[in-house]
Amino acid sequence: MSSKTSFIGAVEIGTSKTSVLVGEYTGRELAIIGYGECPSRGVVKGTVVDYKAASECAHHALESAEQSAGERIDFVFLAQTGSHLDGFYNETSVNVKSADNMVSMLDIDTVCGLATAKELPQGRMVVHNIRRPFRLDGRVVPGSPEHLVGRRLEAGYWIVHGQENKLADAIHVIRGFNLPVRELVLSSLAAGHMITTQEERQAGILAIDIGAGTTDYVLYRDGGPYLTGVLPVGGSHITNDLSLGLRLLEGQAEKIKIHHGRAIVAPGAKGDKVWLDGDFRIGDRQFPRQTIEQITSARCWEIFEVVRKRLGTQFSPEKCAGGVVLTGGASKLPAMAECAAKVFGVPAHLGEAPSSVSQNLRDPGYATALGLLYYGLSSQAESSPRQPRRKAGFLQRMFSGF
Amino acid sequence: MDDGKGTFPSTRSWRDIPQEVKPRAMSKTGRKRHSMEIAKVVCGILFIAAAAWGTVALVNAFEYHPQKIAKATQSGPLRKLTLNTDGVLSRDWVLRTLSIAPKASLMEVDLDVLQQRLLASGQIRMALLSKSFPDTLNVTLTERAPVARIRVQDGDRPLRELFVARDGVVFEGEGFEQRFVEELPFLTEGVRLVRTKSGGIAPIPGMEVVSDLLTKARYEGGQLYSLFKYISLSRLESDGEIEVRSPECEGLVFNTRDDFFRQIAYLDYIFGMRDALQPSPEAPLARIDLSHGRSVPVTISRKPTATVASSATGPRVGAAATTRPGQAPGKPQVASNGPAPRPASPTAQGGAQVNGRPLQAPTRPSNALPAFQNFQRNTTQREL
Repeated sequence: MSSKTSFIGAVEIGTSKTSVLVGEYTGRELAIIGYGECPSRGVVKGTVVDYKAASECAHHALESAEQSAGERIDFVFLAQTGSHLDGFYNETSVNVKSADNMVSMLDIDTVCGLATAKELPQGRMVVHNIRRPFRLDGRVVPGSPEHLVGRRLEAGYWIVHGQENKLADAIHVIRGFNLPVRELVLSSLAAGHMITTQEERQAGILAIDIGAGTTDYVLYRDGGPYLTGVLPVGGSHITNDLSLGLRLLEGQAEKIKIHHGRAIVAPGAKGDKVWLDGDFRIGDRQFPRQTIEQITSARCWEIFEVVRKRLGTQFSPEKCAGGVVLTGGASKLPAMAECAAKVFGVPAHLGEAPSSVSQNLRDPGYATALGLLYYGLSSQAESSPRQPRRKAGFLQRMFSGF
Repeated sequence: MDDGKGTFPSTRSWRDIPQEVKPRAMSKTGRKRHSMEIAKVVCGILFIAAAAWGTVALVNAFEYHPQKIAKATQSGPLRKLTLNTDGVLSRDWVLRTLSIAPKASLMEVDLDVLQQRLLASGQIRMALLSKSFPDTLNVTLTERAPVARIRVQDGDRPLRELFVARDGVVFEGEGFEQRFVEELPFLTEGVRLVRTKSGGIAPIPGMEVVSDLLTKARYEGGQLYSLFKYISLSRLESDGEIEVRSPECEGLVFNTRDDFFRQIAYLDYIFGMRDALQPSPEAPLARIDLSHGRSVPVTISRKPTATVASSATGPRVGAAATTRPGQAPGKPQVASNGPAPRPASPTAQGGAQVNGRPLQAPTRPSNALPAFQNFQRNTTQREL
């Protein structure tokens, strides 16, 4: 990054809402200076299905964020989610070239290049190449293996890829506002970066972001992301379950979920009844609290079970000392952490943004947008030394002043 | 994080997705931003083009049509001259000295040349000239004030009366009032005029101290300043003494290493005691030596005052001829013809002389009496 002040827009086009944060980055410090939000339209399970509606909504959020910041956004970090995103692990090893078996930069480049040069199916594109720690003769090397002595160098990458047209749709929504997308970041990585500490990531922790349409998760191990995934299930499914089970409209079910839903059935809920509206209007009726809680808890339990199943043997309580951390709008459902703890068999808690973040942005619903800014900047900083951007030409630099 | 791009066949990344969007696919705000961006680029190109064209045109004008540059500034003929000076020089004198060609354009006027013309007159210490377009020339002058006069005869040229400023610069004065000029003393002996390479006269060294003495006498000595008619610098460099002559007194010796104010105070006191000192009212005080601190030798002449200073035309300094003021018949006993030999200390010499008789030196403790009381003792001894 250059030392010039940049105004970065962190955009999350979610299923329920599109949120935009504006960060002022001076090269050393990042300050959140603006915020914009708009209820999403044209987005289903994190995927743009109606370009015009999604664009209107996203552009409205961008415009209000710019007005709030009082500055024009220079470029955008875009969060990406959706069931089209998938990942796989690819590992390669090379023999160390030099006669004295000292690992050189060429060996590292070779093994990294081989590990990432994996052909993808037609129409799929790489979103992230997440490197796991190097291994030299079987031993884990947390940092760079350069100048270490060994015979065989191994590198593994968790490669996250997605559907090309769906990625392009999301990018074009932002380009429709005439803003370049500088970074595309997986929602789970952004949110996880915000709600976990380096210490927790080193010890191993599972971060789950339960949104309205999708549930994104990332398992951290050895200080970095180890595995990611997206479930096309989220808070809206709980609402849908309530709507079907109690025969309610979607809005009424959402209201019931927010006020009376629980991730675990409370022991004293039996026989207790709750009003739909509570204002004695015609059509207002009562529902058993236990029934509501049974419906919501069943879905919550199922979400965690599916995540657990997806993780499979990669997840083990012994290698996840940090437990489970939850974020996202649906994580605000009462007893969600207890539910996760029961399913995963490790301690679970709700994630919190760092204390440096202002109070009104510490809601779990903004964790992804906040994490986008921090993760996007850190990933740019990491990638820039190895992939220096082409130096802007004279005219380009001159016109950038305008 | 590492994208792993290198010499290996890389997989397609999201960065390969073309981000260009047709304006039709943009929202209203997006199109507006896009238009603004294009407008900025166009403005930038126009700005660069204009700057380039202007540079080329300017270079072209400088090389081939320099007269067009003067026209471009809308400069008219010089019509006004504003003068701001701290001295006495008039606007007419400045105009005459500048000698600008009639109907000359302000653009054509070379300020450096005009400044040199003004500075050629020694009376001007500093000259600032500036142009106010379209037709005004501003002149700001800082002038030298004369502290003394000097008569110079250079070869066959007629005798000239010049002025000497505090910094020793010799110049032909212009615009000073006659009364002011007449009050200025003449520099007589000890002045060595040196011609500069440019044909002028080099500044006279030591004039700062002379100026200090004259300023003190003028502003704090009251009527005593009228005694300062002729000033000799012959012992200034060697003994640090300035000798002043006038019709009333043939020699007043001031010590430059002592406080002038105190010496003038002594002088004032002696002139107050003049009746008691003089044997006859006609006899002038021939010599008062104020260079010995608290002891002041006073020599009284027997000749009448009118014969002391007979040089009506003033002294001359120069290569051709030099006259000495006060070189008149009936000289006092203590030398008044030219620089008097420096007396030894009053105590060693036996004190001041009155009519050729030595005045007994006062025997006083070093810190017993103030200066004026010491004078009283001297005069009292003389009366005894």
